[in-house]
Amino acid sequence: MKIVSTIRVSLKGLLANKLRTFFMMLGVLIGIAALTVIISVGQGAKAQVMERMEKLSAFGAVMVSPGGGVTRGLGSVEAVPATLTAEDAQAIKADIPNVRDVAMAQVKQNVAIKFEGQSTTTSVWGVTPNYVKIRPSPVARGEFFGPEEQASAARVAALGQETAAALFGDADPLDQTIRIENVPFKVIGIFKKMGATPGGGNLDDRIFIPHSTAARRLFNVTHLSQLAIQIATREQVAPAAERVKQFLRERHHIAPGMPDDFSVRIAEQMLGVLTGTSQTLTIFLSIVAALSLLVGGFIVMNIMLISVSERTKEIGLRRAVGARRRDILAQFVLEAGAVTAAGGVLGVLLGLGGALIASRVMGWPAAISWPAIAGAVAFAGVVGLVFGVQPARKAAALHPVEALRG
Amino acid sequence: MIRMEGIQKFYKVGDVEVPAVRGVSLHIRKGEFMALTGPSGCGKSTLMNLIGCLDVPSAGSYQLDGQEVAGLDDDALSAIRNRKIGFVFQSFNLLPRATALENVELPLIYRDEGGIRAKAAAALASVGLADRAHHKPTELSGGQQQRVAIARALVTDPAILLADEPTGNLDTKASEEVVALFHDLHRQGRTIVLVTHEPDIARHAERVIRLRDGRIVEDTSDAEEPAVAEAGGRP
Repeated sequence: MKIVSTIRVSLKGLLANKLRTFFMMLGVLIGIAALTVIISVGQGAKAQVMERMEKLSAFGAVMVSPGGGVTRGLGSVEAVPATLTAEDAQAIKADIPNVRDVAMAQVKQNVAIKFEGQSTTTSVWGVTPNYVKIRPSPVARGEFFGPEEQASAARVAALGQETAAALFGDADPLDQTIRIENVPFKVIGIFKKMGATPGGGNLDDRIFIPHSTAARRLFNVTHLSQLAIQIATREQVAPAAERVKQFLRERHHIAPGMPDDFSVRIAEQMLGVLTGTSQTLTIFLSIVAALSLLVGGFIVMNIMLISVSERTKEIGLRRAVGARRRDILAQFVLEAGAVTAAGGVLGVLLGLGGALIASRVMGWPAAISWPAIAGAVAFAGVVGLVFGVQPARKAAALHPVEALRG
Repeated sequence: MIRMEGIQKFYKVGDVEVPAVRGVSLHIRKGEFMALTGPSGCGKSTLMNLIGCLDVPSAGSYQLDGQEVAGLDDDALSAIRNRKIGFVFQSFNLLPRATALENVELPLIYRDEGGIRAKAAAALASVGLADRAHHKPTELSGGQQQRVAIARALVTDPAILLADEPTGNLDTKASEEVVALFHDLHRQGRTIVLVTHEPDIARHAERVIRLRDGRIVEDTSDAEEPAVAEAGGRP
């Protein structure tokens, strides 16, 4: 018997009882749809975190902040322990291998900024010019300060888009003079729009000034809020982070067993923390969806068993007119397979629609992962075959004489 | 056409072997119209299943169209049923959701050959139902349904047409139509075995074999047929 006619026979068998076919399909359809939504939203969330991390471009860098424990965001200079210094930065650059560059940052939160009648508060970052090489902050208009401004402690500032908008509205901020804690600064650059950090910080509401200017003219402190250490290759980041840790413990004379007075973080680690939760959730939900698919498989099997016993006479007739056992087997396996495959395809379509609606209405990120979807459909097909075989074997094993009796 | 020698068939019920056919020898010539009759439980259904290769004998030899059937496996029996046997059943056994034409096509889909639709249409026309090709069984009368079933049996051009109580579910008029159709087919040279317990139907056949308790007790054919005369004589 040709495979084409077997398929035709199976499809006719399914169409003969559309309601039953629909119910068989439903279990698989719901499972696959749920799986598709979960995978799509999970992938979307992961992609979103990755995108934000790439924006920060903190990959390949080791970040050191003062104080032990893990802190979120950057502590304001007046609030952080004064444990991290410019000397630390120089020593790290000089003594630790694979360190390409070290940038320093002093950050002060909630600083009053004024321009003519307008005022706002934002965070002011005093950074060495190389800071934006390690954590790129591209300038949309104007320019960023360089070693000259750093050396002369020039009163120049680069503004985030939102900060600029708060002070200047639609006017052109370039070459205007703003007052940071009443000290005049010339606006020389406006950053490109960058959005939020993975931790929720706003990259568009901040002001960058040279580190020397901040330390000497504004904050009057020598300790740092952050060190950004660029490592030669990404593979060396983790060992380098460990070395930085040991190096700083020795420099700070921390006795064995005592906690660090600084914390070292690498972007790859942060990524793990940030994606870990959503990934665990995705895996958990996927297992639930897979279980529902398994239940769908049992439904398929049960309905197929009912179908076989109801169609005993049909099976007997087919055997009488020359169907071999394997023709009957193929017919019923294909019926189950076709139902689950159709359920799989419809489930994917429904799931993609659901993910799309979720991303539009609720603002969830959604990304289509075709390999995962192909995997889901293949899984549905396997479920159909596995659960379809038992009823089909039962049908094929019927003795023609007994089957004809009904 | 059919050559059965010392055919026996036992059914196992628990540990006991219950005989259904106890040594039947039977020759059926090509073109013969034969009726197999007897009271219920006489073994005629079992014998029909054996002739139709739906079941295999427990003992004895069965040659159909020159081929030994005893000892063949399931696939080979399926192939023989497909090529040599045309079944007609008491309850028609039509697929309810398929059209008359699709029902007639059924045996042909288990063959690897083309022109299925044309062959089925021709078979349907030969039983006078060309104009009912796209009707579902429920839209046909009982007599028409049985004629569709006969067309299905004929579509493979089988060596033998095997009809099991074909008029059992029909009223008198439809029964007469079906019997008339069998006469037509007989005139065209078909070999027909008609299983029935109704003497009125059996008498239409040119030869009647009566079974009782799994043995042939009467054969109306000429005594010139030596093989038939010795029927039932063996253990």
